[in-house]
Amino acid sequence: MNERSKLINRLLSERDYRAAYIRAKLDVLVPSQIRALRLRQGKTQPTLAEMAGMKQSRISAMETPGKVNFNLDTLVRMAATFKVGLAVEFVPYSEMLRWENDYSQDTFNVVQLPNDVDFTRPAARPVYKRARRNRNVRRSISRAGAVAGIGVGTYVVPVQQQGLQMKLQFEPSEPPAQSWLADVITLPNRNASILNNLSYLREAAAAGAGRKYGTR
Amino acid sequence: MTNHKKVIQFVSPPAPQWSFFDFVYLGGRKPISDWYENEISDRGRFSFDALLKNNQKTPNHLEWGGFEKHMKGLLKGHQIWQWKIPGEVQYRMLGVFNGPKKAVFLMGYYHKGGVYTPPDALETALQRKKLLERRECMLDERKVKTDQ
Repeated sequence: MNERSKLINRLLSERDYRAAYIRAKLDVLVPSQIRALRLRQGKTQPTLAEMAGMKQSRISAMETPGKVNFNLDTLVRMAATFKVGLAVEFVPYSEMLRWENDYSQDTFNVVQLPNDVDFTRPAARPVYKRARRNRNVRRSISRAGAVAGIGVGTYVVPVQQQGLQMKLQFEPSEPPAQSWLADVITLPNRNASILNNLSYLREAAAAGAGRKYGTR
Repeated sequence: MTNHKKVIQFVSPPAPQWSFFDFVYLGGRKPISDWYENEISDRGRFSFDALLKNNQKTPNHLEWGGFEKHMKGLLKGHQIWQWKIPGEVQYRMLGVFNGPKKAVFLMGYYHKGGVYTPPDALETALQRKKLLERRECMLDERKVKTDQ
């Protein structure tokens, strides 16, 4: 049995072993985060202590692995001092391990409240996103409509279910756009027969011969 | 208008990671490995692994968790540093730097109520440091466990 299998077996069978495993990670990573945040924010231990209303020796102890048994109140106080949030959640072991393996004290940083745009100005970005999303919906519908042979100027109104059947209703939102052919071949007299205007038709076709299909 | 000044941003290479080595006697005895396997609790062992993993990724050793650079008493002035390892008792690991981004663990012990376990921990650490300086020992690289 290899080392990993032994670890897994003991974690599966012993509660105290599981507790030791979790506690060891928190003992190291919580002080490390406090230290990293302090250093990223360019604060000294005395400065942070003053801001948190604590003694410098307590900050020092909090940055030393295993020296302080953190309670939630202390963590909340530190989060408030650093102007960052705090998430305490139960997670699978795999996620806890990923967190530990990906964590680096050297690169750890958290956006502070004044710079947290997603929190301080929530209206700005979601409206923009909503507008984009709506626009894309209309585009996709018009694209789908084009595939289904629906005119570009139509849109789909909400589906109405009648009994077991579903009914799609289409309504024009605006006058249908002139087709390219209609743009080129415009008869001078719409009531007249096309045969009576054959010469004009030839001229019009010749004029539009150089145009590429699809361009307007 | 032309501007021929082109700013080229060089992405800094990832910071070199530390390598940690266990002191091994020439005869093959592995005191650090023995201490890790037999002398510390499960919690202490997990904490040591977690500390190792975190400190390995921290380029500046002064920012290491549990790091104590200046030792007092017998070890004063010998360039021996200490890691404080969380556990039911506070385990400690004495070590020295041995080249760029290389650290050697010399002695594991714990200290509580003025009592060192083992009692000659500091003397032994000094003795092993001298052996290391005279190259009368071997080094065994300690693998950082990722549990994966």
